[in-house]
Amino acid sequence: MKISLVSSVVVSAVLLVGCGADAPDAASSGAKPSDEVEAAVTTTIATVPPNGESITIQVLDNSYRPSEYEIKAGTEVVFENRGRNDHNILPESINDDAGLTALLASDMSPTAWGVPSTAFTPGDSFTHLFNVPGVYKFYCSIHGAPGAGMYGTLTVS
Amino acid sequence: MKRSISALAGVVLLAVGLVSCGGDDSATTTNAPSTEVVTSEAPATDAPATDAPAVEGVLNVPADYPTIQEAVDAAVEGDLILIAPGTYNEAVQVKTNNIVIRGLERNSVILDGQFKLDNGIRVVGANGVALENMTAMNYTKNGFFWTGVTGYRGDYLTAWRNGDYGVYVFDSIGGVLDHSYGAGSPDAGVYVGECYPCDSLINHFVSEHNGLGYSGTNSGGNMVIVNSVFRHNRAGVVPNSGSYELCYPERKTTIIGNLVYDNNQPDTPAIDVAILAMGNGILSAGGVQNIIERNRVWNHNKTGIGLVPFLEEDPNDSLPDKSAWDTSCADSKKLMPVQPDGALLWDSQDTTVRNNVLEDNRRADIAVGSAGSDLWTLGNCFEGNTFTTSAPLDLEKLAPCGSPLSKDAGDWTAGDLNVITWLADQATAPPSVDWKTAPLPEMPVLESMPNAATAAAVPASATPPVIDLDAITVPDKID
Repeated sequence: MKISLVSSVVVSAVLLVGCGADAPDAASSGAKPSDEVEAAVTTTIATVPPNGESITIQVLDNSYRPSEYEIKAGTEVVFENRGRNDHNILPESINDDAGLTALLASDMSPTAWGVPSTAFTPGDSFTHLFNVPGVYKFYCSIHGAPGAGMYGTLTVS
Repeated sequence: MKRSISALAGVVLLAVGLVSCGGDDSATTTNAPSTEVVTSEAPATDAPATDAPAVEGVLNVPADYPTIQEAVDAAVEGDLILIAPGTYNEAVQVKTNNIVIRGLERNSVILDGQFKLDNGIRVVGANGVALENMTAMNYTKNGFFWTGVTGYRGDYLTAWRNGDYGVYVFDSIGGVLDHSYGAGSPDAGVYVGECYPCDSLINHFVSEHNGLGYSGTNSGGNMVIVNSVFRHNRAGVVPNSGSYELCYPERKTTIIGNLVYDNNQPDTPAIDVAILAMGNGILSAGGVQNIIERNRVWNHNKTGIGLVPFLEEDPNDSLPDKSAWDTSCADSKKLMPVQPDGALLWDSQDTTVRNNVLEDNRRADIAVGSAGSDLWTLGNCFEGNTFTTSAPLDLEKLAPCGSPLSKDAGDWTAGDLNVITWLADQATAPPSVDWKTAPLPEMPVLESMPNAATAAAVPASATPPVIDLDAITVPDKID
């Protein structure tokens, strides 16, 4: 995979980053899993600057349209709640709004992302810059589960 | 709320804690049930629940598993989960195909969300799951919920005072809802949406004191609603189209042999569409190619059977061409939307209203309306109905079945239906009542599934039973 690596994000965390995506370009310090909860590690995430491109994903009742999409790293994605119900957008590793809130409060890396239903009522929009390559699988915990019901995948190359 | 996150390159972050992956498990409301089970004194059932002998493939709750969720998680395809009478404060999620979850007695096996949990039982992407013989109440979302499945069945279910729908089926095909009941939801007591062909049957369902008795957005295609009762809702039976869900339009729903009455109820919880539709018995709101036959419909402030447009002010796609109506839901999902310039008017079209018996529907027993389209171009027809009033006047003469409609058939404007005034009526309609406290009649003691303890576990088939529609007659009044 060829990327334009012009900058990096350095994250010092007890756990490895990348909860919101399978980010293949995240380079860890090499700590073994057993060490992860015992000592802080430093992780460098390769990021790509904004490329000026933007796409919109409609969030309907109860689907993401499109549900699968490929974008280049550095693309901004706008999720618009165009339905009549509340929805959320959660990485697959997160169970619910509370889990997302905890994630976002503790991890400000670009691969920690999502929006809780309280902030995504009809008419709301949520924008995220996907600047780390990877496969981002997400779902709405109100109307789906990982890989079932209301779910989607963004592939960032 | 508009939120914009732009992660800046070169930012150095310091995050310390164990919470970065998976969230706070202790705060889970969607997936994790509480473990509190209050087992009531068992009513008369055909087996002592807690002493049930171990039978291979039968998982007893709470005898073998203290919670329904634990039994579900342990089940494999073909298993039967048998639940003893008691109150279960759980939000159960099912991801295993072809299992049967059954209460031993419908009225005393109670899942209670206590106004905190979201769904009584939610089946997500698991095919062939049957839910039988139990009650779900006080959930913030839905009593029983299937989504993204092929093959579902709900028998002898009671959904009572839930915050969104009673029984909710979404993006699912091949199913049956039978001998079930929904009351006290702001949206519909029973809903089947976003499916074509749905291959689904609603039979012997009673839906009352909801915003809508039945709602089906963008559903249809062997979608059959028969032998059911819709009463004391804001509006009774409301198939509808809109681009806020996929697979539009709503089409080919068959509504035969139902009792639909007194749907003017002012004290229900209600979503905005329910308030807009208030006072109508069977209301096709932008639906097409529906069949409405041999129903008995009475006592509505507006129409008994009305075919009206649905105005979508902020649509997400253009109206599908008539040639695309028969596109399967699966195929239509692959299409990219074409954003229209302005609002959409989903007209009701090509629907047949035949041999219904109607009385005391104050605006009109049978009616068709639009907000700009010429009525004779819409293809709706009316024949053989027993009625007193229509809008426009002489509707059966203007729009007979079996021949092309003509502008010259008569005066289409005399006594026509002005649906625009309904928008204004919303402002003065009784507002929604909080679903948690809305008045409901005493919870009825409803028929329980025969031989619940001994009946074989039969997972849901993706092919609903065939109903002899020709044999259904107009039902007699009840009450």
